[in-house]
Formats: sequence, C-alpha cells, structure tokens
Amino acid sequence: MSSSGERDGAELLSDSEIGVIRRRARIIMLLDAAERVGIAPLNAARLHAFTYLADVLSPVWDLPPFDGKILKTEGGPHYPDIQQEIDRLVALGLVEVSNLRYLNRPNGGARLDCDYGLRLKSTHLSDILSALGASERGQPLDPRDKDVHAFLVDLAGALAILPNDQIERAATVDATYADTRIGDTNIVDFASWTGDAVKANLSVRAAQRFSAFLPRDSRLSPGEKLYLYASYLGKRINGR
Amino acid sequence: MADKTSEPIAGVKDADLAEVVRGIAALPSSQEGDAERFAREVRAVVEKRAQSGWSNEGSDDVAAFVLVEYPRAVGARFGGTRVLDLIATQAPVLGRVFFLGRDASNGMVISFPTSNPAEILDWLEYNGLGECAVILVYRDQKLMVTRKAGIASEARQDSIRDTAPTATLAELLEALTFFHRTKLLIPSSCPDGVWEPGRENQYVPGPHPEKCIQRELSTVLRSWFRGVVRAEMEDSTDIGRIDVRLLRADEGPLYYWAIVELKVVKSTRNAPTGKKASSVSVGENAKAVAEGVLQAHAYRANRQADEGLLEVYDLRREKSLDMFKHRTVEKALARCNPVPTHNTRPIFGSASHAREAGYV
Repeated sequence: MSSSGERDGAELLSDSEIGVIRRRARIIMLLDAAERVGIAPLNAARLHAFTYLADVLSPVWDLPPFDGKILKTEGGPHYPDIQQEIDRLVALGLVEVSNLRYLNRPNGGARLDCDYGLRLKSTHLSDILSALGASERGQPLDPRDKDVHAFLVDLAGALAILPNDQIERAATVDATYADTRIGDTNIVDFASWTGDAVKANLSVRAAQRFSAFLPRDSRLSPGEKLYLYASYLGKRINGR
Repeated sequence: MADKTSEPIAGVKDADLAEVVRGIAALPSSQEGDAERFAREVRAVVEKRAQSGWSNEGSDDVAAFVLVEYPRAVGARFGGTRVLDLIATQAPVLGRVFFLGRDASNGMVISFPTSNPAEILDWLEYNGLGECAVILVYRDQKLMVTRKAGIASEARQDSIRDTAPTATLAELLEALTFFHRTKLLIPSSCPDGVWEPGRENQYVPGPHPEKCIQRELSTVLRSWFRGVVRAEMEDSTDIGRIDVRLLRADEGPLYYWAIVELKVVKSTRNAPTGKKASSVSVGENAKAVAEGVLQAHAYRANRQADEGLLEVYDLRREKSLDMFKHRTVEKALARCNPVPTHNTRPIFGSASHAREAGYV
C-alpha cells in the first residue's frame, strides 16, 4: 500500500497516514503506561526518553522496536515526528498539557516546556485504549498489542524506581545511546539497517547479561531484567 | 538474543551489573498478580517507617493505600497532590489515603477524608473505589489489613515489623510457621486447590495440593524477606525438582541460601463430589516423606546451600501417627548428613477440628 486510493470500494490509507496513526497509538500507549505507574504527567524530555528506552529494550520482551534508530544529540533522545503527533493529540483532546513554562536555553533565549498526560476525561479515550490492548474492558484490534502494553507498563514501572527527574537522564546513560563509538549528531542504529541487531543493541545485551551473575539455574523474568536494567541506569547516573 | 549472556559488553562494567543483581530482592516482584505485588510493596513502605520509629509522622494512627488503575485521575477527583518515590523516601503516610500503582511508590495522596478512620471503606465504596485492592495500616496495633479484591473481600492481617527481617534459619522457620498458621490451617484460609471444593471436611485433597501450597509459600516468603532474600519457585535440576529456593547476597554474589522441599501426606486421593475417594496407605505416605527427606538433602548438597528444609503438610484426617517415626522415613533420615531441618504442619478439614487440636 504505497499511495492513497480506493480498492473494492474501501478507502486505503497511505503509508504516511498509517505512520501517523501508529505514532499516535504508540504515544497513547506510552502515556497510559506512565499513568498506571503514577509517573505521569511527563515533561517532553522524559516522554522522549521513555519512548527511546521502550524502543531499545523491546527485544527483552521479544518484541520488535517501534523505531530501531535515533539521532544522537547532546540533550538526549528526541523524536520530532513523535513530538508533532503529541501536539496533534493535544489538539484532538486525547492528551492534556500542564505546567506550561519557559525554560532558559544555555546559550541564551528560552523555549517552552510542559508536562503531558492522557486526558482521561475524554469520552473517546476508553474505546481507543481498548482497541490498543491497554484496557481489560475490550478486545484489541491486534492481540499482540496486549503484550506491547504489558511491556510498556513494566518498563514504566522499572523507570519509576528512579527519582522522577532522572528518567530523562537514564536514556542518555543507556548502554546503546551512550556508546562512545557513536558521536553526537550520528544515528544510533540498533535495529533498522544494522546487519547484527544483537551486537548493535548493547542495552539488551546488558539486560540479558544480568543472568551471568546469578547462581546456576536461577532465572530472571523479562520484567525483572527491566527493573535490574533501570537500577543499573540509576547507578550510572549517580556514579554509585 | 535471549541467551546472549556470555560476553562482556563495551562500556558496561560487569562489576556494575553484578552489584545491581545483588539488590534484586529489593525490587518489585513480577511473579505475583498486581494486588499481591502491591501488598508486598506497601509493606516495605510501612515497615521502613516503622523501623525508623515513625520519625516523620504526626499523631495520626491510620493510613490507607488504594491500588487504582490511574492514580492521577483518581487523586484529582479528591484534590490530591502528587507523591513520588514513596519507597525511597520517608514521606509521612499516617492520616493519609494514597492512590497508587502496583509498585506502591508513585501516585496521589489526600488527607484522610473521614473523621473516623473506620469509615474509610464506606467512603471508598461511596466513591466507586470499592473494588480496588485496599490496605489499611494501623500504627498502634502494628497491623496491616489487606483486602486484595476490594472492600468486601477477605481481610488478611499482617503484623508490621519494627525490625528488618534477617536471613537466618530461625527467621525462616518463623516465616514457615506464620505461613502454616495463616494460610493453611483451616479451609477458609487455604488457597484454592489444597482441598477438593466442598469435600474439605471429608479430607479429600485437591488434584495438586503441593503446587497450590508451593505457589502461596513463595509469595509469602517473597513478602516476608523482601530486600533480604529472593524466593524462587521450582527448579528443574538433573536430580529432580526443587520446590522453593531462596537466594541471598551477603558481601559477595547471590548464592543459594536455602532450599525448601514440600510434601503432602493425605488420607485419600483427589476425587470430585459424588465419587468415592480412594485411600492412601500409611506406607504410601511414608514413602513420599522419605523421598522428601532424601530430596531435601540431595538438593541442598547439589546447590551447596546453607540450609535444606523439608516441610510436610499433613492433610490426613487422623494425624496421630508421626510420619518421621515411620521406619521407612527413619531409614531415609539415617542416610542424610546433615539431616534436613524437617517439620510436620497439620492442616485441618474444618475449623472445629483445628480447635479440638488446640490451634485456633
């Protein structure tokens, strides 16, 4: 399906339109997970950090990443296309903004920042969450989304063991993002074009390697690996 | 990718990973349902405060912790304020109602909405929260009352400990005794599956009572020893299956501290209502216990654990015969050095039988 059109009387969506819907769905699922573990609303940097960590750690749950690459920047992960859809979801009344404020830029000037959370009063949200596998009250359109949602809630819970203001920093010390072989303004590719996704994803390798420090036959669940990895990120942030 | 654990990773120090793993017993458990996980974490929050002498608290005596799907939305309905890192901090809890996620660390808090704390359950129901898991904490009574399935569900009582648990054999035995007394002794407190439904007072067990006991015991031990010991369920080894294994870390890496083998002795096999349950002979029970003795001994040695324990749960109607005095079992015990720590825990098919035996 490469262009919009009509086939057998049904309106077809273009790749671009499908991409927009997928990004909006992803944002809603990320915010739903953050709401459930009590860390919402999230400021923009925190939400983008969560978005990135959800991508890079998806294989811990045997899930494909939503996006297997990101442009590495000094300030931490930021997805312009995701931000655009966050803003549109605000306009659609599904995401709400709070704590709107100016933040001074280091080199002068200021930029707007705010916190994002689901607008849980929206009359449309319940049906959308059901369709995305984020609610027990209905069946998802794609049954695999239940797993995606469970993974996101576990990851959000794992990140919640960090002080709230450290969540965005957690992404910058993540093993893949902080790989010194990749400089700022270069692409961190852990699953898109890389020939060896196992080798390229240092975060997942670290999460799997925890098992090497357990006694024989002891096992970790995917959820425990996420919590341990979040603890590891906290340790890196605090230098402990 | 799942088994890629063998090679060190560029930029990631093995020492850091190893240190993080040593703290695994203090992380939320993903092996229980949300309500049980919530109860375990609330207990950690509360006991942390109790063990510091409730230093940041005022004169209030009661706190309520409510597990909700969306803490922010629920808290906002009642003018709540945000609370973060409840586990890591010493924020006061008494005189407050918390609306939290399953890890009980982040969410919203309000002051107690009722002048009489006893009315909080009614208040929750009135406000549409009657089906949420709720935990009430009473400082003076050192008591935590958990209703996992909402205000009308069974109330489980746990004491709030002033001192942190330690990984000792004495403490493990205390936990096993607590588990027996509160979770197994009489049918109304037994987990589903220990007894065949409706046939408890005929002493007909469920199809797999060991499995049900094992699952519940793991949950209790995870809660009891949170932060100190990691309890894992079942372990297939080249010499059999270990029922519950306990791992701890002192100064070094995690190691097997104790293994707990479970056996059930019974009067009859499982049979549904309306069907005759066939008898289990003394010899069959003795054989099961003897096997448990040898397994506990062998697994302890195999895992180089400090402690090997055998817990025998006695579902027999007639309990006077001490299974550890049976010749088959004595022969098994004689083959073990050291002899596993072993106990028989009576389980009754009716509360009146337990009372007659001096228990309730």
